[in-house]
Amino acid sequence: MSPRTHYSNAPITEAILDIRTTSPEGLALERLEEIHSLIQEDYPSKQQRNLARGRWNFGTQVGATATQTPLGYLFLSPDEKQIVQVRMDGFTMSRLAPYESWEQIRDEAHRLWEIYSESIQPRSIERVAVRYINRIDIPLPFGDLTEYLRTIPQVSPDLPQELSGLFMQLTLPQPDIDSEARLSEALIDPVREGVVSIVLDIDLYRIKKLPYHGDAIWEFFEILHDRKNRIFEACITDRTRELIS
Amino acid sequence: MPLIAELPPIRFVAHEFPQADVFGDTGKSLTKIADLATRHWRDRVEHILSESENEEPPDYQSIPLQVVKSVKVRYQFAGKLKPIPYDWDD
Repeated sequence: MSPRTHYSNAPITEAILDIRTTSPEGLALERLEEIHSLIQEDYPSKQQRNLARGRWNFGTQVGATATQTPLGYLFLSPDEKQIVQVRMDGFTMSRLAPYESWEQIRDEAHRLWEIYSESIQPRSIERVAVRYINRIDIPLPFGDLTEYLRTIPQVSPDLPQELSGLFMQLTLPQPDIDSEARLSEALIDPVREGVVSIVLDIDLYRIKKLPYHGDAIWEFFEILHDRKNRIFEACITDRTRELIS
Repeated sequence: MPLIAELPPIRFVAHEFPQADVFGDTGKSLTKIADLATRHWRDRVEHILSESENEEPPDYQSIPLQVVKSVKVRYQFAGKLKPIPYDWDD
C-alpha cells in the first residue's frame, strides 16, 4: 500500500512536530524569550508556559503546597493557527486546521528549530515525534463502524453492538524504525447534527538511537511522517476516503 | 488477533515522556477523554502500580496515638502450663 499524500478534505485538525531536548546547565528563561525577537514578525503573540507542581503532606498535620516554575514560551501566528513552543525541555511546532501540507509545516518547523538550537545549544535530543490528530465525521445513519474504520475495538457478536462511548489507545511497536506509534481513537461530541465524530490520533515517536543534530533529524521526520501516513491509510476504509477526498 | 509485544502493560500510564500538548478543540476533547480513562484505570490499579512507580520506600510517619480512655485490669498468675499437643501428622 503506497501512502496517499493529500486529501482535498483532509480530516487533520492538528499536526505536531515535537523535539524533546536536554538543555545546557543553567539555561535562563530570558534566552528562550530572546527567540521571540527573531520570529516576532510571523509570531507576534507571546504567552509564558509554566509547570505547576502540587504536593500533599500527610502526618500529624495535613498540608498542601504548590509551586509554579516557568517552562518556556508559546509564540502564536496572527491567526493563531500556528503555534511554536520553546521550552526548557524542547521545541514543538503545532499547526491547527486548515492544514496545508506536510512540506509547509516541516519547512517552518525546520526553520524555527535552527533558530532554537542555535540560541539554546541543547546538549542532546531525547525524543522526536510526529503527531496528527484527525477527526472523521461519519454521516448518519450507518450500519457499523467497520464501514469507515479498520482498527476498532471488537465487541463480542453475542453482545449488542451499539456504542455510546469509545476510547481506545494502542501502543504499536515499529521496530524497523526503532519507534512506537500510539494510536488513540475516541468518540467525541458531534461537530454538527447528522454525524458521528470520531477522533483518530496517531502519535509516532522515537526515544532510543536518536539521530543527532543536523539534517539527520529532518531525514528521520520524513520517515516518521511516511509511517504516519501508512498507519492512517491502514486504519481507514474506502468509504472514509470518499468522505475526505 | 493482536499479539502482546514485550512491553509491560502499565505503560498505558507510565510513559517516559508525556505526549505533545494540543491546542485544537478536537485534541482537547481527546485529552479530556483520555484523562478520564486514565483516571478510571489508575483508580483501580494504583495499589499495583505504586510498587513499580516508587523506587524509594515511602517516607511514612505514623501519627502518635492519643489516649482517649484508661482501663484498669487485674491479672491472676495461673502457674506454669503444659504446651498444647500438636499433631505432626496432620
